[in-house]
Amino acid sequence: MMNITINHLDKTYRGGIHAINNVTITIGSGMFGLLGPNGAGKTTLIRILTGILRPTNGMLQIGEYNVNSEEGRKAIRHILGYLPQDFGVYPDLSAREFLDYIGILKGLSDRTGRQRRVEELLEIVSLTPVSNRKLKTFSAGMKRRIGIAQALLNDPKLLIVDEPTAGLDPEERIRFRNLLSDLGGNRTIILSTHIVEDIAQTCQKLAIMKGGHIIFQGTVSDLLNKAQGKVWIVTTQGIKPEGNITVMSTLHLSGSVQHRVVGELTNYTGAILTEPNLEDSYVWQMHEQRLPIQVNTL
Amino acid sequence: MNQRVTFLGVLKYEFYMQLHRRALWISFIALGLFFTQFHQPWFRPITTSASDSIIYWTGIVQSFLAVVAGLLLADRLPRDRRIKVDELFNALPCTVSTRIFGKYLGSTIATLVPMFAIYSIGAAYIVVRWNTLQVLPLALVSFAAIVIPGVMFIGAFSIACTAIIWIPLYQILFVGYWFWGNLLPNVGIPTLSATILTPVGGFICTGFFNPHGKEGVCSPGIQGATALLGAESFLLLLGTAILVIVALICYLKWQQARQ
Amino acid sequence: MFQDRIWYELRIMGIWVILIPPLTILTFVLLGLMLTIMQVDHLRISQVFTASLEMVLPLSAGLLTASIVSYDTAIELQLTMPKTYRLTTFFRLGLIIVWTSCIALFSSVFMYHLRFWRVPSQVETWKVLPQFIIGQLTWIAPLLWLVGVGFSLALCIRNRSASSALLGGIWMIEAIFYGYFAFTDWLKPLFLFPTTLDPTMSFWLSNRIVLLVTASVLLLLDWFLLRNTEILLQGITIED
Repeated sequence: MMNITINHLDKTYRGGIHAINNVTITIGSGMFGLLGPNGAGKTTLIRILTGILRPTNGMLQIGEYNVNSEEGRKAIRHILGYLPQDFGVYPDLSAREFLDYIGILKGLSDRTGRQRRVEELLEIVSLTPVSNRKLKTFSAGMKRRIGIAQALLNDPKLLIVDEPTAGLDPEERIRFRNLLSDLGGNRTIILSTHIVEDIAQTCQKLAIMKGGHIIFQGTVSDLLNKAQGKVWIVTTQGIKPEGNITVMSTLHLSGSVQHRVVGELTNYTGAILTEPNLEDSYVWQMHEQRLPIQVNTL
Repeated sequence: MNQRVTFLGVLKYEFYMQLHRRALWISFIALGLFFTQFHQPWFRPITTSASDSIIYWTGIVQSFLAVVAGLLLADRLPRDRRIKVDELFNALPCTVSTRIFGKYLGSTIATLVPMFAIYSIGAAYIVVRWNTLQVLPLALVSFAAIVIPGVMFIGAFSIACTAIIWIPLYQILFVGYWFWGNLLPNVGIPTLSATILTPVGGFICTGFFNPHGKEGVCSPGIQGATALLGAESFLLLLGTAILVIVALICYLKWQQARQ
Repeated sequence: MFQDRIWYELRIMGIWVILIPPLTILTFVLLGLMLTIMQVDHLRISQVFTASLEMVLPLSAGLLTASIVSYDTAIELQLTMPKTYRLTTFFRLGLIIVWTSCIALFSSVFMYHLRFWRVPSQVETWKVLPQFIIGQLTWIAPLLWLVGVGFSLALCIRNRSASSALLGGIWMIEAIFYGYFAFTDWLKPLFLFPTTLDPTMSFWLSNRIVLLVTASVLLLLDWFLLRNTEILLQGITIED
């Protein structure tokens, strides 16, 4: 089991941009979700965890390794599997060649063993039929699958995936989530995303980031409890409900309009309290931080 | 759709995008600094004519800074593919020709700006050192006559060729061409250096500004070049540039139709 | 694993990395043949062949280095690998240098044998073998220097276009203004192409050594510059 301890972590870029402010989290084994809007600092935190960036201040311990030191960062690379948000590939290599090459970079020196591992992973991500095709012919979903395959080459103890399902169709997204869930066990998996549903389907524990700060840390149940009593179904004749609320969805029925809202709704006749889901809880959490969240109605 | 408005819009934005490139200014300024150590007009004797100094300075600027211009224009078209805007552009109602001509003119004119800035520093030095304002009109005319057609010519090739040639390969070929086809002295090796199709502007310089073939005026100079030959060279360079861009447009349209 | 690694790195850099050096020499061989048919002076033909090794091959290696070695589409992934990106970059650099050197060495054997080689006056009186071996400094010194400069420019400016443009400009200045380099004391050590342009110079050996030392210093600097992963990552976004 490997714990990640982050204490008072700061990251300030040149130009005085504070990407991360005083972040303190503890992450245990299993799936951990890192949720937040775009620009929250998730990717910066991820890059610090992977050793690409160095924190301005603070302490970061991954298992027995102190990531503040060069030795610690080097050691982490041997146990790390990483799928970046901007996952770049070498377009003229085939899927098999790309995985083989990354395997070499990960230190898998035995050719037979490495190739066997590549075939296993191609099978796991269901890309064996297209393994000889060049990566430039791959769709976004297929590239993401190759991305997860390369992250697993060295059977990492720490797997970090940054926005893995962005741009994928629903079927690909479900396949990806299932794949990640299967990988849990003794591994620590950090899933960084702005898509609440990804967290809801896979993670027991999560943290929410906003503006470089951690605004929530705990279990999914804790987050759901926070929004208890704050989620309503309001039926109107077409007028949007007003007040200190966020409209989550609007459903046009015959003769009326049903709104799902999150917030403090008092003195509104016909409003029905309902069980919050994770998205509602997330929006409520953001609402509590008093920064506007736009939720598009379909 | 008003293609004229679209063309001007494309030209304007390509101009600003090229002008805002840090790479453009770093390259020109760094190489421009070489001149302060090496060459004209700083060390030219004051007993020589100020007009000759201006013309020589124009030739030197063109000989060396045009290489930088060509190399910095080579990545404009592949850039659209790299940052993935080409698909968006192809779906827009504006024609390929409008877009490409706008890109070509906007990028190339922007590339001329730092060249002109460095040229102006040298010209200003000549004005101050020779204490005469009379050379200013000559400076402007010689820049327009020698530098602009040459840069338009190489700009067209730089933008067009990288549609089919890998950028580093083009850069190697271009540097080799610039040396062999423009600056190689007559040493018995066949070269384009002394023809009217040289963007370094030897014929234009000699034909328009040094018809008597005085030493130390045109760099490089072409013995026997007349004003007519200079005019032919000027028109040929600009005409070839347009033809190359037209060929590029035809190629891109053919490529699109194939997809 | 080593052979696999070489294969993949060459695939990633592209086929032109392999083709450019031999095609360069082939072009000059054809040019040489043409000049021979035209009955151009033998000295001039020797100058052309020497230029191919001393001027053109190093230029192509330098431009390839500036364009390719410091840019990687999968850089974020590379920066998290146990085999560090520093090693990967120098591996690629090494491939370019070794391959160009193989082509240069192979060509120099024939040029020397057929007496199309401009021998610097400083080593003219030496015996054949030492003369030939030391004569390889003709291309080794400018090759390493231009590669070192190209690489340093690409890492410092973090822009492939600017570094290529500057390298091309430097090459042009060395080729055209060589008189300044040959006769100005502080510029003599930086004279890249003396064998082609002025083989009678008295400081050929010291010039070659200084270029090699300068190249080593630059490559050492590049090794340290590659430690800064944040800047390498930023390099992609400021490319345009």
